[in-house]
Amino acid sequence: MGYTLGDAMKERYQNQIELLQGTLDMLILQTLQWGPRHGYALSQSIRTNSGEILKVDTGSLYPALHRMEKQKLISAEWKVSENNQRTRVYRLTVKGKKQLVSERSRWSQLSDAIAGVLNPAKSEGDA
Amino acid sequence: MSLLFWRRKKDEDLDDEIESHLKMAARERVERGESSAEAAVSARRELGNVGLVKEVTRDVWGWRWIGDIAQDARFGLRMLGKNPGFTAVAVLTLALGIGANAALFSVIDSVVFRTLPVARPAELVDVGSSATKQSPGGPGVSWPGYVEYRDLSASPFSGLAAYTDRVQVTLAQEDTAGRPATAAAVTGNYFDLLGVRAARGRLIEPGDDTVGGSDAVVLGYRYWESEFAASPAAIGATLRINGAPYLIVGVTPKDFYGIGLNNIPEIWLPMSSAIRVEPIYKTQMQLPGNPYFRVVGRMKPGVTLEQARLEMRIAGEQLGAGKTSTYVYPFTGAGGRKVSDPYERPFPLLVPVSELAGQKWRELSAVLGGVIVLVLLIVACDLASLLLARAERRQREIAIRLALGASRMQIIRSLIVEGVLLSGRYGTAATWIATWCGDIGIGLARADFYRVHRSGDRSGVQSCARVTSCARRCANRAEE
Repeated sequence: MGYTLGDAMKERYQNQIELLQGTLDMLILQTLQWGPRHGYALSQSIRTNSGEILKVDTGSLYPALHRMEKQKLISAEWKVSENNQRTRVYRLTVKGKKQLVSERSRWSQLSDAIAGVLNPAKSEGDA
Repeated sequence: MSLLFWRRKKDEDLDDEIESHLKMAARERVERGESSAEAAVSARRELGNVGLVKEVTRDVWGWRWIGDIAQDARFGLRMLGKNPGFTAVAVLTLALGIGANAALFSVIDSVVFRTLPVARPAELVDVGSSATKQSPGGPGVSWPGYVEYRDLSASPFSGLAAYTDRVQVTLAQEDTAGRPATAAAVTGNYFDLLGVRAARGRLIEPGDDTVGGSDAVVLGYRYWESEFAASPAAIGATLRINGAPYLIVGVTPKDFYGIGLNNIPEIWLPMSSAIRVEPIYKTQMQLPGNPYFRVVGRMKPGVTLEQARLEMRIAGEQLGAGKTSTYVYPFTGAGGRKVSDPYERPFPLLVPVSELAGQKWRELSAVLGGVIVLVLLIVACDLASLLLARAERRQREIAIRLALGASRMQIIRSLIVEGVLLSGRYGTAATWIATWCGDIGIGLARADFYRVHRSGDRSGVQSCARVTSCARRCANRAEE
């Protein structure tokens, strides 16, 4: 059993990415719409804007950022912060903006659908 | 190379990025009132397994295996360095086994696997003699026999050439001391019949093969390279053969060593000059019972080997094959008496040239090959037990690596890379040994062959040694 330990640990991170993939991408794109920021600031913004409910796991955030960079949804460059700290700052690309629009509409369809299932009486009444 | 630099740069960037994340997280915690030590620890805890986060991120980049294999290679080198005794024994054991094999292969390669560098080799047939009371039969025809076959009115051959590739001579340039060498003597139509063209100048032509001989000599390519530094000025220069001056008229093509391949001639002479160089040929060329000369024929287009055999058998019968005649020697014995011998006329024996070429080496190779396979087997068993003993001792190390989060695949991959490194080492050692053994082995077998191979390129030998060693390593790993 000891053999599978390493795989299991790694899988935990990979599963989390999969679980969050669509949603996390959208959250990142949405947050970057307000301007470029680095990884830590991104995770803090998501946390504050969600009323401390959504905590972005760093183990998912950086792989997601690098993957999105590879997909050219975001671009990255090195900047020096006000604390003289060298940080990698991410910025939304044109392709990323388009992606955000389509993900938002998909998300609202999804949440409407879920809401419909959760409140059948209301939707029946509407109809 | 640039890909590796790119990887390293990206790795450093990722380290920096994660580092800056940790610092910012810690700073914020300090601002919220935690002590700086406490803040650093909790920031790190929040991030999780830093190594794994980085690794998963790197996976996203793709091309990850390059970095992984480089890492495995570094680790493997360290492990091999840690066990110099084991490494040395393993390298030596297999290098000896593989080296011997590769040396043998270099001989087989040149005489067995390469097709003869002549035009349409399938049409070429070696004409020999059937067994008689005087001779066991095989390649070789007496000179009078050759002349009879050559002058047949109806023949399956468009031409017949005779040659001998074992004339021992001493060669010297104007300013050098002589050294022994092997020469070939060929009839004037030999090169034309084979369809071989000169690398430089011209080859032996019918006009050279005249009564009394000519002073033309053609150099083998290797001889031209080693003694004349492949200089075009060699054409027209003088070569002293057994002290007498000959005019160099050309050079044979690079891979052409004749078609017999049992002896490797360094120079080529017209048959008629052989008598001058070596007076014994005068007698040889008169004895009808002595199958001394090799004969090669090119079958007419469309003639099959069976047809040629049948036609030559009929022609042989008409010439008295199978019957006993008496031969009167052209000299007189004691008291002026004539000396005579009865001899049986042989039938012509037709064998495709490709089957006969290098036969001597093929027979030797088969025997040596068997021996070497056995040696390799023993060597492989030795090494397998060495590796097993080592695997036992490494269980602890592997358990630690698994506990630290290495996956099963990673462990297997690093063991394979280590194996490849080890085999790379003995591949190199084997190449040296092959070169060395090959020269000694071949030198023992035949001095002239040795000279060809010493200067020959060994890329074939090297790749053979490499491939064998890799295959063996993989097999060993599979056993583990």
